[in-house]
Amino acid sequence: MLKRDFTKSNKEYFKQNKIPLIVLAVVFVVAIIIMAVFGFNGNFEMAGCTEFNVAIHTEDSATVSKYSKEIEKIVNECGGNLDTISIFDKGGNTKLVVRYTKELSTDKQTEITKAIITNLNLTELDVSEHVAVSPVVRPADYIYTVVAVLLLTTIASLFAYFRYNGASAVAIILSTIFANFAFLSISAILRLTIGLSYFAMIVALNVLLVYCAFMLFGHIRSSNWLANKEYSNALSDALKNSKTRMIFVTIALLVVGLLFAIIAPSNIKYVSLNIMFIAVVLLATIWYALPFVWSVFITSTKNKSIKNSKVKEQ
Amino acid sequence: MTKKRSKCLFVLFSIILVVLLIASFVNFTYPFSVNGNYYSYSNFVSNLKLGEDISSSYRFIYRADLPDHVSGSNYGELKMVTMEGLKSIVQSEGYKDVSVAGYAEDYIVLQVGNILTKQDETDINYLVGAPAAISFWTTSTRDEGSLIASAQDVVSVEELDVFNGTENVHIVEVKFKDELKDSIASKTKGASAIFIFFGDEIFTPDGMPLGSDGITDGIIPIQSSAFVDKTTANSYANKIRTGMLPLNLTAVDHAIITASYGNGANILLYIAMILLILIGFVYLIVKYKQLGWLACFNLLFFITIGLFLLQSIPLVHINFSGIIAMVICLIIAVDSLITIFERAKKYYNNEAKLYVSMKTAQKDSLFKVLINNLLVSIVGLFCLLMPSMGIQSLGWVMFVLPIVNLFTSLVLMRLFIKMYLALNAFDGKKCNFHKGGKDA
Repeated sequence: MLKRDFTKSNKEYFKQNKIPLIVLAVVFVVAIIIMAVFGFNGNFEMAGCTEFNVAIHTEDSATVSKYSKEIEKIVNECGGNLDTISIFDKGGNTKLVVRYTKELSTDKQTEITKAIITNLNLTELDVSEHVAVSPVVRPADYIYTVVAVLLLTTIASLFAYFRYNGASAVAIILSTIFANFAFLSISAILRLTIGLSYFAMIVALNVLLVYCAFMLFGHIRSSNWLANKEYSNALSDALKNSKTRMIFVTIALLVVGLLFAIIAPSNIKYVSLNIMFIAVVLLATIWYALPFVWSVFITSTKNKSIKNSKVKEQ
Repeated sequence: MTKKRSKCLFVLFSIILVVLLIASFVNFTYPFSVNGNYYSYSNFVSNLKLGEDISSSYRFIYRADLPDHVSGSNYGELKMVTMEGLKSIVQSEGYKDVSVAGYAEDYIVLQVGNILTKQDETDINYLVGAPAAISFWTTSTRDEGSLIASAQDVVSVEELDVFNGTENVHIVEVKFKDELKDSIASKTKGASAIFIFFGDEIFTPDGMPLGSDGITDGIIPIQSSAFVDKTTANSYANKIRTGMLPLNLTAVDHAIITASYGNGANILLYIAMILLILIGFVYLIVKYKQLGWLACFNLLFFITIGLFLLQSIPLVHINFSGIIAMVICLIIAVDSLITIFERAKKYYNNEAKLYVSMKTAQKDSLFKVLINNLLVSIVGLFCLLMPSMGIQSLGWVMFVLPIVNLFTSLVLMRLFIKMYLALNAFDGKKCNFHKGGKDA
């Protein structure tokens, strides 16, 4: 949790914390460069893919599983990036839908088809042609996500401005930028595979962020209100008081991420990791970034009051 | 509130909760019949309309041709009737997520969503894979002149329960056009049995024995040992109904539209959600002991009412992003309760009595819980305006569940706490509260 000495000015405070701030800035710059140069590692939903079907003339699950493992081995040996093999029964036969994470060259496709026919004793009719599958994500999805986040931040900061104070509104805006960049840069730096659900996770992160920010501001106000404490003490009180709830939110997200990692099918495993990153980013934002911005702005503004915070006392 | 009244209320709410839990998670057939028909109930969870990313769907493309004896002037009207008929047949089999659309001049596309098991695939394929070309014959070899009637002659099909002297048996009654009464009577008179065919496949290999007078009322009651229960008889009747549609349907293509996230993704996600809920419960119980139990009681109401609303609103489709929104809302629901409890803990630590702490905490946290939930709900509302399916799904869940949470955490929980305080108004230790604790 952030510990701020409010007796010192912002200038002195920055000087004191020079190294962490520089490290943070460097990481961000590197992340932005990686995002700009390499982009994101999108799965079939974002980048499209290639898939083909293999017909097997049995419904016996053990045999089907054996075929599935053999195909997986062949595809990997031939250098195809296997995504999933889905199994479907079709009137006494079984259809295996083999999907790659990315499109494959024609030579590779032919090589894989031939290897499957030879090694599994199948006919040419049993193995379908490779088909290119278009990306599910449309350019509009990017725009809608950005619009949703912008709307959310605008409403939240306006609300914070009218209910609490200007510093709270600025803190929400800047910490949102921090959290989103942190979340995006983690995916970029680690080259995580992301898909359609990534957009939903970005919105989810922002919703949780705003929720937790209001939780913190609420605590600041009530601490200021109930005990008539100065804003400086109120901040540390609020951080302490919101500890239980923040820990619950973080643990819940980490557990959900872990559950998905254990339970979810292989092609949504990336979601589990991203949910865990939401937890980490959220905690870092609520315990450090948001109080940091708030403390900087509350120190530099003349009006340090928190609206309605003295009503009860009066 | 007196202790007795409090206990009575707890019993009453427990009963309501059990009913809600059954309605949410259990499928059953009603133990009584209406006009001889048994109806089955499908729970809230199975009624949730899942998106194509987490559930497979079955798609059929049919060529819809006019029967030989019908003129082509009202083809459009007949196509609409056929589409409606097809939809209602599939829906009466218990599949809720069914869409039927016209395609090109003379094609119909049927898509059945929420295909969860392989049995579902088999059943759907049997039902509408090839609309029934049912025919009734007096000989098993379908000799010339032995045809009694075919699908186009059927007026109605009903599944009935009939008492045969010893037990109730399930039959399917097929009623033919009135003008065929005499013809059917004359063809069946003296015949030993009726043989029913679906296309070229014989359904009743042994035939159905007939009385000496044959069938005089134009109604053939089909009995079969295959009708082991109401559901199988109903499926059979539905199969016949597919042959009664005004246009001749020929399936030109059918395909399974795989869930983007693979087979069984929805089941796995449900398991993850249940585990998450259990972890939330354990956390609350360990942290707040008796109040934790009360919170779990309250959360079960939140979950069941939330599921009820999500399955009732026709536009709601739960995609993977909807599941993420459910996780968020569940966290918010738990957090709303923690907000109240933490405040109460603080007051109790500062030497207030338990009932005073609880009441003041509820009053103090009212606005906070209200604002937080309304904010999420408003964000959900804005997400609904985005035309992206994923964000809309997120929006629906974030719009509906916080409103439910407002009701459960502010109204229901208030009542539950009142009931609890009637049983324990002073002993904070039972709630893991300690006088002069570290939060004091």
